[in-house]
Amino acid sequence: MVLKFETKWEIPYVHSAGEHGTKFFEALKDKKIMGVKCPECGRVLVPPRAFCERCFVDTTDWVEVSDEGEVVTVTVTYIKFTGLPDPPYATGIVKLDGADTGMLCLLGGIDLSDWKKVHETFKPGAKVKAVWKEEREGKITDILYFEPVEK
Amino acid sequence: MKVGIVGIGITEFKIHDEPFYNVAYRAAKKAMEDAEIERREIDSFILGGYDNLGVGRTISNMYVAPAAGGYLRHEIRVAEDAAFALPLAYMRVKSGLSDVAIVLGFGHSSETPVELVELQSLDPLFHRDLKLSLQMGYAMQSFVYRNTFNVSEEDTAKVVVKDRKNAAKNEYAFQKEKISEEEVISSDMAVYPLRKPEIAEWCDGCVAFILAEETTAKRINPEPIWIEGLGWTYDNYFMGTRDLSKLFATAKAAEMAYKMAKAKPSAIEAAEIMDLTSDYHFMILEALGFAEYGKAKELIDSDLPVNKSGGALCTNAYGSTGAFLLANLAFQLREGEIDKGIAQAMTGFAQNAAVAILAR
Repeated sequence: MVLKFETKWEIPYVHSAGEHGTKFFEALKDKKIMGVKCPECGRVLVPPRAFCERCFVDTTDWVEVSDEGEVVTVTVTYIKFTGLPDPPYATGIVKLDGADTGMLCLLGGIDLSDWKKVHETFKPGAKVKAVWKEEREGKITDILYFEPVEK
Repeated sequence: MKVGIVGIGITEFKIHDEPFYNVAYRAAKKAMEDAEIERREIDSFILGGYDNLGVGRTISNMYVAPAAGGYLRHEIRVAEDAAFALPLAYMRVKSGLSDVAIVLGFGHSSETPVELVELQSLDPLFHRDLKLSLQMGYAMQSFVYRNTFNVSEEDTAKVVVKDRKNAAKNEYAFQKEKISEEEVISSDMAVYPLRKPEIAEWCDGCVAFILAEETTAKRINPEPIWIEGLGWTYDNYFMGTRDLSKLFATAKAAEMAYKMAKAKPSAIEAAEIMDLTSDYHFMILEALGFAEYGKAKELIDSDLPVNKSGGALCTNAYGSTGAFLLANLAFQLREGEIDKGIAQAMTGFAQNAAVAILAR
């Protein structure tokens, strides 16, 4: 047998959202989702970023996109991951109407215990809409999750 | 001038009781014994593997450089899986700056829950609060892949059965328990649509390679394994920006490696691929050019030996899985089973990839 030592890190950070991030998060408070349009390829990028990695140019034009869109993909975990919520919960990618990229998000509003039902409800292309937090604070979690448009 | 692999050192892949640097030392020592050279004959020390949160220590070079034999010599470390360090060692030798180089990769998953480590790799503004584990990222790709190309559970279960069967015969593999197709399909749903045996489990293990320029290589080892092609690239970190049904990073890295090797997929006689999930097995084979997109399931019974090692599904050490696969490909060349083969590694949410073509 060898000895084992338990250690832990607790390091606080203050992350700057930058100008693009700030505009995006501030808009969430008003239930608005903002993207940026690349002046060259014309793609609307959501979440917004300061430059288009394809065209390598600044993104300066802001566009409001819908809080409704369609499912690109979904997963539900039925196993517990350390430090993450108790299962089941669903994460996916939703392409919002007016956006050209998908956005990582939580999915919900349905019974997640039956994966067959999840598969039926959130199949690729299924229409979903954002469920907003009552008291919004300008964070990505202001969108609680996306739920089916037609329940 | 060619560059050859003249020594290989590989440890057991399991949950090790020794700290990662002691396991790494074993791999380096074995590689030098295999090449029958001393550490003073090595003039480049290239390190690979994940540091920081995974092993609870920043700047892993401090620990791994001495383990590689690099005490009071120069060393340099490459991020990502140790397979990504191979190109740098190759370039050191090819450029003439080095005659003999060592690549030492450590993989260590057992000191902390890897999901917590990977959560810290997610952007703290847009992504981290969405509670995505690495396996959930993989599963989102599986969902798209299966839906796009009509791939069934029966198809993906066959991958697990095949990998496990191969791993059972590999002394270095971690997960060696055989499993049937029925057992895979009836096992618990873990991260939808992936069932438990369809996701690689974590373990620890280290790998080292000794590289040398052609003349020196032949002096050290009458039958070196030649590095003919190398490629590496990365895709978008924002998963929503990628077409998740394909592995573009692997395809691009393969394109680069094939071009350098002046080879086509038809010249490849065996593949070792980092199938962290059953779906990735098919997706990687497609990205490497062995099948059209969506058609790799048809290769399951083909003559092309894929993952004789058991693949990443059976052996996955955080940071050295790609190096493990490379070593296993090199063993097949050494044994004379094949003349040319390809090894692939990928990291993160499959957005980074490295590919190597080896020949004898």
